[in-house]
Amino acid sequence: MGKETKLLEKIELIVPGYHGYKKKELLREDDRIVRGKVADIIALARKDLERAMQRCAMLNCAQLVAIDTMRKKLIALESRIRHAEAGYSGYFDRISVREKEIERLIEYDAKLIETAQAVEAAVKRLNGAMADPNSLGMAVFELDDKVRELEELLDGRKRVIMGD
Amino acid sequence: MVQVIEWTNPGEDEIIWRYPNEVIKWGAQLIVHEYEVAIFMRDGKVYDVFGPGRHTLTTQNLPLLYKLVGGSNSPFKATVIFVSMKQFQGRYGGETQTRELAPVKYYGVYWFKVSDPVLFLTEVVGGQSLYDTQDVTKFIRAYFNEGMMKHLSAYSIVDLFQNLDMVSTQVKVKLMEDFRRLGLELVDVKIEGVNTTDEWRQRLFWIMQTGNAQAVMQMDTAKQVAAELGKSEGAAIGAGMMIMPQLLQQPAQPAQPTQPYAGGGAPPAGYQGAQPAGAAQPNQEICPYCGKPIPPGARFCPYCGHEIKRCPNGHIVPEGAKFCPVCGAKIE
Repeated sequence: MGKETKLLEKIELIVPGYHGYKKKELLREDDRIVRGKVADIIALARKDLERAMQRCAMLNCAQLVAIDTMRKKLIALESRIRHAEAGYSGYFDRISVREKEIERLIEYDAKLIETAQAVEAAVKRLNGAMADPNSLGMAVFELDDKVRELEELLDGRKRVIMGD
Repeated sequence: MVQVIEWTNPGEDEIIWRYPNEVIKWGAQLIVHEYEVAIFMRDGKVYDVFGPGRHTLTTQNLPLLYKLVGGSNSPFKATVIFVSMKQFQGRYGGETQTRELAPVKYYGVYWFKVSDPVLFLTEVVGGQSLYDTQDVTKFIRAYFNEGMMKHLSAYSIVDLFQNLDMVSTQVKVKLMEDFRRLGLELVDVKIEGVNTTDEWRQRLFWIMQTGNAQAVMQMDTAKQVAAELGKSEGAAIGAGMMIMPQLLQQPAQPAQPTQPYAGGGAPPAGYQGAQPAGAAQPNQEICPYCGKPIPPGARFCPYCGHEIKRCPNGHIVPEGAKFCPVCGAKIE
């Protein structure tokens, strides 16, 4: 319970209006606002990455195409998170009565926000590494890893929601 | 009967649609789909932007408006403009020249979406009722041509074919800000094709074969001089004998081996292109399409996959040639 409270408080501080799936009528709303927040963080990261692309083009650096590929990944990820189905199919019905699934969902939400922030931080590091081609290459790899991690988290969270 | 305001059956290329009826009743149902937003305007001002969902136009979502119309249930006049937020495809094309001044035609596609509906409406659409991708393409064409001309002219024509992805990314970076300024987001740009004239294609073939741009240019000059001499009435017999040897004299080799077909200037960003053909070993053959060394007698380039045409004596010949330019053999 203590762990859950801590996580809940942490998420509530970042995502206003989040209820931790405690009210049945707000289940879909909680899901939507968490996804909205994560999508907003990714959108900010993408804008930062576009700034990195512009600086990269100015400096004639060789990683331009690689950075652009990362930008496309972030666009896809942002759309996937923002427009994910909240649904009327009733898949929330099952978790509304199971405390354990709700705990897992809250854990996933916390991780999701944390990883989205890590993606944002990785983009910032990439921006800072623009002058050094080696560090820039490593920064691109690091960002790719973080994006992959976020994708895996999303898949895991979806499995919890679907009740698998 | 409840008034329903909805954009039904939007066309494939339609970005903006204005709801034709400006008389709206309290309690009207505004249905906004996931891929669009609705901008609500009253007295020429933007009051609200509605996201996806069903919205009942009541005092809850339009309190300010309610005060303005006096709080009655009577109909009021307002404008509802739907903006599609999906991705659209536009086309571009034009002509420019490469670093060695070879004329090139280019064409391709780009993808964009509306990122800021209000900005797009105020900056680009104005009072139009319908706005589609053709209108955007018309609006943005000059930016595209400018960007393409700038970037394509930094490459030699063979580099261009090998670095299309880099060129399109550079153009995209340049255009992103122009799009953003208009409330649009440029998602991607692709160059579908680049083409040059037959004359330049032949010239490039020889430049890549010999690895010496200067010698090929000299041959071109000699050919032109010969053609002009033939036309000239006053030319004495044997004039060509006097002029031609000088014209065909081997030019001095440059101290540094440079790009085989390029003019001066630094290669563009990220360019690590083909090895200069001049640097190849004496018996090494060069693919005329990608400029990379190929095994002697190869029928296909292992790098670009192009078929290598040969005369009966094994010399590489340009595509469509009827005679071998080296030995003169007829090509079947």
